[in-house]
Amino acid sequence: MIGPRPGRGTRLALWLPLGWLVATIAVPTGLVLLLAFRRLADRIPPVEPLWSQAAGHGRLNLSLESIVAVATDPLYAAAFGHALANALATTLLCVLIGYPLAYAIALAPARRRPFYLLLAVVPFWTSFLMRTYAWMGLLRDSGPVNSLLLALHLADRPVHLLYSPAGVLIVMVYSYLPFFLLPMYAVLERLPREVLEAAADLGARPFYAFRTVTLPLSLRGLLAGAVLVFIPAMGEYIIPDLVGNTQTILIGGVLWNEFFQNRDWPTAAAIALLTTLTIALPFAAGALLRRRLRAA
Amino acid sequence: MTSAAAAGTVELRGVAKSFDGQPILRPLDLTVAAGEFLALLGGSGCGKTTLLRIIAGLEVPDAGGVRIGGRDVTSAPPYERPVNMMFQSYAVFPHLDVAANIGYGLRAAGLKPAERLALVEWALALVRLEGLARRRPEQLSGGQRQRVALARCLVKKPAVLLLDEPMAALDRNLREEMQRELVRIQRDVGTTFILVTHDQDEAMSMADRVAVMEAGRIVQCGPPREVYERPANRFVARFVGRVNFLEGVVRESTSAGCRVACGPFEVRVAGAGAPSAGSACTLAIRPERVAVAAPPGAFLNELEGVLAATAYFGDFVRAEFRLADGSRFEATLAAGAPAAGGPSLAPGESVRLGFDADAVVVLGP
Repeated sequence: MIGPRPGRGTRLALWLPLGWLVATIAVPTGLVLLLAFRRLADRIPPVEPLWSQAAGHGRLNLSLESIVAVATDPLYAAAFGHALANALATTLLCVLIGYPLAYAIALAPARRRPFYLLLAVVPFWTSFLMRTYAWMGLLRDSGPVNSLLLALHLADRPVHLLYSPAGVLIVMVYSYLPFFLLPMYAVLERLPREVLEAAADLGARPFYAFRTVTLPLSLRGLLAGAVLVFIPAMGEYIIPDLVGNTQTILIGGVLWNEFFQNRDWPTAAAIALLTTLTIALPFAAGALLRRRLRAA
Repeated sequence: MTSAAAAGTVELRGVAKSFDGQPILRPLDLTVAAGEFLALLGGSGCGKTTLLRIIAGLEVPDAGGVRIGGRDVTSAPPYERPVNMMFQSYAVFPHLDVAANIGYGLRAAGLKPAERLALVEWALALVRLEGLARRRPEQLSGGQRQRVALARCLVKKPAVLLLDEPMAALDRNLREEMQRELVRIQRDVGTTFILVTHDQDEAMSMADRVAVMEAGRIVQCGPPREVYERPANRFVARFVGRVNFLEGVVRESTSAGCRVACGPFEVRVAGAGAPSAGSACTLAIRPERVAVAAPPGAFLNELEGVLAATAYFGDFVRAEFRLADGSRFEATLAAGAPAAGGPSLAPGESVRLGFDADAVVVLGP
């Protein structure tokens, strides 16, 4: 043990966040896990009790029914595939738009940077639903976006953006951009200026210097921001529901329907479990692989 | 080899730079000969680093022109200049190993791996880092990182190498070793070196010429001995080494020297170019030229001083005296012989201080 033994205050400071994590993550995840292995029942809550007495002896009511149903029904697989494609496209666009934006803010004079960051974040002081409704107005066939396209002769008749996958993507990118921008900015802003100057001094033209120095040194921020966008985008259900059409029935929306409309808690829990595992396993495998490679 | 040698000349004409309306460099001229080792010496904020960055192309001057090897590069970007810079922070690429750091500039220039390998090995040997090619920067000591930064520049065979406070982050022993190393390498490769430093010992011991800077100007530029022995003004005299000042009025001036009245004392100054009789002037005397407890008549100039304090530095002792008018006067003594006239000196004792006429420099206003 290095340093003095932690006092009561230190121990409290360590246990409090741990307790918070257990209460807000471990317990709900455990409940979802338990629900996924139960059967639907016509009662409140709408699942069979975990333990029941029948014919004189106790019985543990666990089943793989919901898991198997979700895993084998092509409807869920399609919704998952749509959600994955949508989340990947959102992440990619957030990276392509957010990286140059974050870089431009990081290169701006130090006095003006907080203002630019504020501009990027200020829309988020308005409710998420309000902003989504505002976008529905913007994307309408007779809305400002289409008026602009027509005025610039980029289109000869209105482009159907509202209630289309393209519309969903536009609103998703808009909504999730700050989640990428902020960590990306934090990393780019801290890049040592002298290291970039050294690259130029050693004969690297701007693009070569970017490819060989700036990008590798900011990759950590890029990955962090991409994960922060990808994870919530994967579960998004409000934007596809409001702006999308039947082609944009995503796994988040399906889950919401099963839980609130159909009151099928086991199926909803099974969807949540399988979705989480499908996303988390590759991440975990990647992390493990990286640790192996570093150790080697 | 005339053309190759001339490639290392640096000429600055009327170069000026301001940041936010604050002048950092006043219009200044500087010429550095090919193969020369020049030190830019000055305190923090004097503009020496800005001057270096203008030569590197990392700053564009507001006015004036920069020529390197006779070519006007005033508006050329850093990657098009035959100049490389060693940064104060070393700016080693943290994601690349030693060999990739050193080979970076060669790779940027499009050299093939085989050509790069030979040059990188040459540079590793030059800075004595053989065997560390695969190390990553975080596994290196400060001194080793500095050598990587140096090798990374030298491998490009630049016409001019710029060094921004290269020793600032090193401890004292390592610093002196690296100073000797740098001088050796400069002799070996024959590249023009321009070194920025605030350390007068470093500037004096390494450079062929020292340019002393103050408030955006070069106030004196010359060989170390000249700058030390014939400082142009009070600032240079005080910045380069320690010095005693005496204020006085010239009594008599001849081609062989002058006599200056400094309060109760009269000081004789040797050498031509003294100001005319009647004008006020400042005299500078280096402490090591002052003899303590000198026998009467041994020196042309004699002062009475009361010992105020001594400080022991190992190889020498610095003694501080008060003159009759209350001003301070310093003398350095070899530690083995505290005073010529007696075994020891106690504070409060009145002592005769002597110095020759050629130990005195008349400073400009």
